[in-house]
Amino acid sequence: MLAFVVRRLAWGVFIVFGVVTITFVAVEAVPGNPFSGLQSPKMTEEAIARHKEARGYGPGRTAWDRYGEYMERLARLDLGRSLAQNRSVGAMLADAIPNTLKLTVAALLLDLVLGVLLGVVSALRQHSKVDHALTGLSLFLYSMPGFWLSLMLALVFAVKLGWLPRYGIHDPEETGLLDYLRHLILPCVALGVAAAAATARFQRSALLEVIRQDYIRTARAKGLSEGKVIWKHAMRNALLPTITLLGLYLPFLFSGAIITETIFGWPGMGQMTIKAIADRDVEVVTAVTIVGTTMVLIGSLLADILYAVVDPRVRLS
Amino acid sequence: MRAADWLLPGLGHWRLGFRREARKYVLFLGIWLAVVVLRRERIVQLYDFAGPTESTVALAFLALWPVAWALAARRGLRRLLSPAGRESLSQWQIALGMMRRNARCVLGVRMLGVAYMIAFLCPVLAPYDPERTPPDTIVNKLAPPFSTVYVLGDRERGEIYCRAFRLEEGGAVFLDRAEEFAHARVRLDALGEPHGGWKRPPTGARSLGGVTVPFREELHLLGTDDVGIDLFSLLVYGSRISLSIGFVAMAIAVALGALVGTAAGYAGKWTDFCLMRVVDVLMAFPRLLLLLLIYAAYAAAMMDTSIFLVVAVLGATGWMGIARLVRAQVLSLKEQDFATAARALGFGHWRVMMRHLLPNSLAPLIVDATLRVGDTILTEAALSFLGMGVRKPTPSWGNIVEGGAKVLHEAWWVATLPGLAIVAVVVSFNLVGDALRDAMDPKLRH
Repeated sequence: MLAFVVRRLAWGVFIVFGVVTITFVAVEAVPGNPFSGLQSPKMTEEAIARHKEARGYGPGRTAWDRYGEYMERLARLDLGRSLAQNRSVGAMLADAIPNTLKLTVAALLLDLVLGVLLGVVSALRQHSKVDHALTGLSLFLYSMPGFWLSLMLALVFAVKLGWLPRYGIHDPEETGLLDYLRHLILPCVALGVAAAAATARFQRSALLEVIRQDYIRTARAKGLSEGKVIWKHAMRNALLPTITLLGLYLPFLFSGAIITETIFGWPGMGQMTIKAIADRDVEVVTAVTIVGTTMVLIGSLLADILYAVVDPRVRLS
Repeated sequence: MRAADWLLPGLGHWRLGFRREARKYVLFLGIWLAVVVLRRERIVQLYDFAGPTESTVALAFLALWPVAWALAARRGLRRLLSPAGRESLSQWQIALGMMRRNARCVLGVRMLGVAYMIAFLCPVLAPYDPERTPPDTIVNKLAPPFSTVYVLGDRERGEIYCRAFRLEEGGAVFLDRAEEFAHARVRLDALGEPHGGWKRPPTGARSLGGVTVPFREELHLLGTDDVGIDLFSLLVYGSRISLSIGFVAMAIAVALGALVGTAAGYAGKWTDFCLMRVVDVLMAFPRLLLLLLIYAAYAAAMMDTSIFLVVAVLGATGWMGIARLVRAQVLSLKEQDFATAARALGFGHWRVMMRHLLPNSLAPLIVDATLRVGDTILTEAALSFLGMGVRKPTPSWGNIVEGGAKVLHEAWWVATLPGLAIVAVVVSFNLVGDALRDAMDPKLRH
């Protein structure tokens, strides 16, 4: 197990390296340089030249030099300074990551609870009206663009009904937990519900496959209650595919969060990404890419480990 | 079978007692007739309203429709009259038969049929030009669904737009969006044929005290957006983007993925290792982030905001999953006897890959691709929503929603309706994809 984790982590470092390289190439392909968008009249020629020098755009410097320097800095875990915000990227990430993480974890929980529950209900009543309604609903939900669902939720619950706040994480002059949760509901639902729809579909077919097996008949035959048969015997096996799926959802939720955060004014990584791309803020874009990729890798690693924990037949190697 | 049976689709079916089929053919021709009759004025002067390419496509579609339908009716009737024996069916024929019996799949195909029909006929169906902002934005903008804008003619100033107007002694009072606020007052005798002539002929007239004032009504079935463009026209034209991009981007992704997957699986060793590591790295990128990055880099680099770039970028970032799928297929197929036999016959690597291995891994590939079309459409819409995909004035459902998000507080319809259109199309693709998957899976066939 330990050897497996170590190997996967080493592999992860390689992937992050590849991703950083691709990002670097993409950023270098933008014509001009990151300073093109920054020509404020207040900046003197000397100041611009000084900035350029400090960032490896001085005379006689090539992209290779910048790449080498960037990798060297990255090895020291120094993510650089944002040009547009004039703050250290590390500090910006430290502000943004907790917000995104809270949102993502809340959405993941909603996804898991709602998805598994609905999946089980429709599997146990296969071909009933409830099953058809739930299957139809989940098809509808996961065919829905995330940004549109976010807007519709905002329209109904924030604009028309006025029950929930539209933007941000806190009302002005409010810091309580209750206020925070009120702000969390809409983005969390927008992010989690579509994922829950997919999970429900998955869970339904997984449970259907399991309850046809012989050991379930045995469990019923020895007189166990239906609740025990389903939740203790069947679910133990039927949850396995769902768990793998959850790890793979992390990147989806991250992509979704980019849009959801923009719509709900949630000050996390998503908002930061959109702003950085618009500003051509190279350092921030690269940092966000690294964090996003790391989340993907951690997600799939967690999925593998969880899989082994839940299913004793799986041996990690 | 008589000549009239296939000149008039459905007649033969009706005569021979196949009433249900006959109704289907009649309904389809009825829609065609309705389009031609109701939009005859537009069809006659199509090239004045719309660009040459889309006009030609629409006219060709309208012309070929009855021909194709007559041929289909004839073939269907032949088949009904002499049912095929128990000849052997191919894998695809069996799957097609199963999909025909699947009600959800039929629903999906019908919805897609309507959507593609709208996309082909967009210049015929759209009442207004979706790329031109109307002259009077203040009056036209954010009109709710089913609202009418009136256009009157002023002899000196040209056409005047208003939401409503009232004729009084001494003048006409124009009411603007809030209805109670009069925004202009014009003497009655100044109204009539506008300066420069009517852009389109008037549709009605009101008179007061012997003075007749002609006016034109412009109906906005689904309302207007934040600059006053008719939302229905925007949606009709926007369908072209969503419906074509999903397919074309998917085709590019399938081609790339099949090529890389086959090469990796067939060559093995170092080629396989290197190609799959590239796939690993690209798959670790959150897709939207990768898209935004590439798009930001290349749209700026080429000063290009065209649809082709969006398609290329979507295709170039969607092939990794397909490559893995094809590679797994090829890995198991190349060990089978037919592959060895092909090699033993002296066929080259390329021929073995393209003619033997790839066709045999086609079934899961096609199922996967169909299920991904919906996903691609959603991704395109998200990109356009973020302002990085298809840009205005070219309408796409994603960028219409973006405009609507800005005016969510005042006008719910601008953001809501294009979203519904996206959902309808993606649901249809998913219904068809699910049915295809079930039909292609031999395990579920019993």
